[in-house]
Amino acid sequence: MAQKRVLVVDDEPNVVKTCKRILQLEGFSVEGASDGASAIKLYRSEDFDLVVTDLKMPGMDGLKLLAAIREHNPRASVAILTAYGTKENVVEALQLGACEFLEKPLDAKTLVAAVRRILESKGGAVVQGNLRSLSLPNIVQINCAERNEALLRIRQAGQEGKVYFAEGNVVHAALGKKTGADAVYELLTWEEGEFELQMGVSAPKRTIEGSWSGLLLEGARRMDEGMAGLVDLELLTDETEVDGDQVAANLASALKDIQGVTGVVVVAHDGSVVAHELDDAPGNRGSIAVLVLGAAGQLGKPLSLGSFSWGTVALGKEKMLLMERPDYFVGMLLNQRASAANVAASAKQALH
Amino acid sequence: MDSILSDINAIYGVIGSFVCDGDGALLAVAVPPGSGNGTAQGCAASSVAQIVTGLKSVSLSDVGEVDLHCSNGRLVVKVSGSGCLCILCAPHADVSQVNLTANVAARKLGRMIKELPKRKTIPEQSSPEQGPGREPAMAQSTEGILEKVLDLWT
Repeated sequence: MAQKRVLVVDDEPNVVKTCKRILQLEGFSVEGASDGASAIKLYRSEDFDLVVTDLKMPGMDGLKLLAAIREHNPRASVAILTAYGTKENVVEALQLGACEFLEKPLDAKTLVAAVRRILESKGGAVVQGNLRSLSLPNIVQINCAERNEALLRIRQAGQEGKVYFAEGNVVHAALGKKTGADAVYELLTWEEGEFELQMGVSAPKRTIEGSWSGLLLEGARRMDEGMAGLVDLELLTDETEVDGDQVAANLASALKDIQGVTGVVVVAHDGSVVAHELDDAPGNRGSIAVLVLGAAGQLGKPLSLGSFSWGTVALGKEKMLLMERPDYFVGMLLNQRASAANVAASAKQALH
Repeated sequence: MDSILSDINAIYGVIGSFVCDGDGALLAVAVPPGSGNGTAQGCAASSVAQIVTGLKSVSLSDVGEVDLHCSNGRLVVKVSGSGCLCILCAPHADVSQVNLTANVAARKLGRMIKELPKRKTIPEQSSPEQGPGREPAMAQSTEGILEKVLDLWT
């Protein structure tokens, strides 16, 4: 069998050197590059079976390199190295066609196993990673938006869950004895676990009807209910006096950390800004939140739409997600790629 | 306007729709029974118009859309010129398709509203709980919020 060729790209020379040595000892032919520009030059001039690249590099970063390689060869296999627990840019990397996410620091055994797995599954259109890097709501959103027909397997502590996608929705799921939406709700509580996404796999049956966003929101609501008891217990046992402004500041900071959120304003019902994570115009954004949320609560019921949950306002190129909690109104600015439903599901957890 | 609303209502998951002008007056309604009576839609139109007027006052950018998610559905408001197209959707509605149709429809409706020579509004039906001369509570409340917000901003 021909020797498989791997290109390792990282701006840290020691990482390149170590990966090269480890993979060469396992019989791979390995080349290294310390930046994206020289990597793409090397890739265009020679044949490689796999590229392993760091995500954050000066100049051409891992995403730009991934896009350039996939433009040159749409079937190229590119694995992305990310810092432990980093979720930033992972969604974009998956959309650009990354086949696996490897968390740094990387031990020799994991690297070799991942490289072997990718090269063996090459052609089978399999994407692998960990939920720490890419959450289940994000995976659902991407596959539904792209209308993929695919099977997602998630493994954690000896359990395996399966989620099937078709026609822009989640159509079937199974976890142990649970099937359908209940299996998805259970899987949504997993904060980590290895996942594998296999394209072109049809669901054996349909156990889930309705939209994927509704499924995620209901999952978030159930998680809220499950956590409510724990939160109450924490409040009862917390003897320290809680500073309301600090709580709001922490809330703003937590909401800003949600993927897709670029700014946050927390405003009291009387319109005063309590906390914000914005570069400019917090008062203006706060007014928008008060204006819409003050009226939204009274619009749903007369029109038989039920109680208000959350909303969005599009103002020019800016989109603001609006949510309410008993003491505050909250406005979150979203970037253009963010799914409002996904952010709302994550924000619901932070708001309770 | 009625034919535009019936095109929108034909989209999977759309319950009904209505159009109001910048003052909150109903210009066309295509909502089935069970999705609020005429008074409810009149109040909603008034609230929507006040939200949009308020947003136009406090925002430096054009107001494009307001999308409110509720437990049993959502209200999508497309703003075009001085009018608003309000679409009631079921939770399972195909909103990407709604947006495709509604964005075009909103522009058409915006032009139609602009060309209206004289306001032609749909008279609101009075409900047993609400007398015809009584100002809707929802509108009063929204007006109060609007005033408060504008006070803060100015």
